[in-house]
Order: sequence, then structure tokens, then C-alpha cells
Amino acid sequence: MESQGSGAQGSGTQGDARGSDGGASRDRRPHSVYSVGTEPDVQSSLANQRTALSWIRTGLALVAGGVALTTVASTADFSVLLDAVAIVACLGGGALALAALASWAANERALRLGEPLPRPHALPWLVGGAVVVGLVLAANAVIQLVRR
Amino acid sequence: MSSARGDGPPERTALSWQRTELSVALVGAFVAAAALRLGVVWVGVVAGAFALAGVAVAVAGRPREAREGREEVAPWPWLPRIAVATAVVGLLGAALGAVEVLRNLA
Repeated sequence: MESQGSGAQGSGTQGDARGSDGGASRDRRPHSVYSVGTEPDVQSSLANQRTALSWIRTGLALVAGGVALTTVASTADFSVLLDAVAIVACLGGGALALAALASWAANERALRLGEPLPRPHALPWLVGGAVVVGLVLAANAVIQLVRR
Repeated sequence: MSSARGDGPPERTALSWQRTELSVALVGAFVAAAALRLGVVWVGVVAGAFALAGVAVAVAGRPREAREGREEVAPWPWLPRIAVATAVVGLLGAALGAVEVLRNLA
């Protein structure tokens, strides 16, 4: 196994994947992440944090959109559909935040082990969900226009 | 901040934390306002408490640690806390939608 990047700070020997950075990782949580590999380049680790935080903010945007939709639905016709989409958006936003946590742990483990980063599992779901919600809302708007 | 870490990424990361905490507070306040407007008081109260907690953490919590150079690279336990807070705000938003659906069906 290779240590990660030119700025790697670990003192462990290559080839030992279990807690090989001099025991400093033993006190750090989560143990499932910090008990393996060597200390990666700190900039990569911080970038991984920022990526997770960006995913959480995306989840928050979904929640805000869902609540906005609920507010609009309270004054609109056909509001059950809008409320249903709002519920899905809010639950999806919450799930995205939890997925960001799992993704951060998986990426940090990969960085410590010098392995390729795992693919972003949430991204296809987010794109697919946004497309489906957009189509449903557009279809709803067209139906409302035709009825008038 | 130690020179080994560099001045850029830790500051950028601290600002990212602050943005996220303030976003939790803002969305919590939005959920609270929407809930109170729609007359779902319990959702409004809980979401309002989350918004206040988000502001308190953003002002007095992690960003100050980062400024004083005590920031650990490991984001535990702040990352799970903020993820769970987001999930709870999402559940409150979903509860608000569910209440509206039940009202419309009733």
C-alpha cells in the first residue's frame, strides 16, 4: 500500500493497514475510520470534510424547497400532489445528510488506505430525483393550465 | 494554525462549517415560520428550538475552535451532529407536509 500524496504525514510502515500511524489515531473517532491506514495529506482530509458539508447543505436546500412547496400547496389547487412531493423532498434532504456522513467515512478510509475514492452513491439518486420531481411539477402545471 | 496545515484549507473548512451551521439555523427558522403560518404549532416550536441551537453553535462552537488553532482534522462528533440535525429538520418538514395532506383529505 502506498501512503497518500506527497504531503502524507504518517509514520507507519507501508503494507500495514491497521492503525499504523504510531498509535495517535487510537483516540480519534470513529474508530472504524482512524484504526486503519496512515495519516493522509491533511489537505485531502479537509477537502473530504468540505465535500461532506456541501452534501449536507444540498440536503438542507432540499428540505427548504420541500417546506416552500408545502407553503405554496396550502394556497394551491391539487395540493395533495404538491404536499406529497414536499414530503419526498424533505425526507430526501434528511437522507442525503446521513448519506454524506457515510460517504465522508468511506472517503476518509480510502484516503488513509491509499485506495481509489469510492464513487458518490448519492449523486445518481439526487439527479434522478430532481429530474422526476421537475417532470411531475411541470406536468402538474400543464394540467392546471389546460383545466383553466 | 500550524504552518504544516497551511493557512488556506483550514480557514476554508472553518468557513464551510460556519456556512453549514447557519444553513441549519436558517432552514430551521424557515420550517418554524412555515409551521406557525400553517398552524402546526408543535413543529414550529421544535424547529424554532433547532434554529436557535444552530445559531448558538455557529457563533460559539466549532468556528471559534478553528480560529484559536485548536481545530482537529477529525470532524467527530460535529459531523454526525450536524447530519442528524439536518435529518431532524427534514423530518419536521415532512411532518408539516403530512399534516397538510391529512387536513386536505379530512
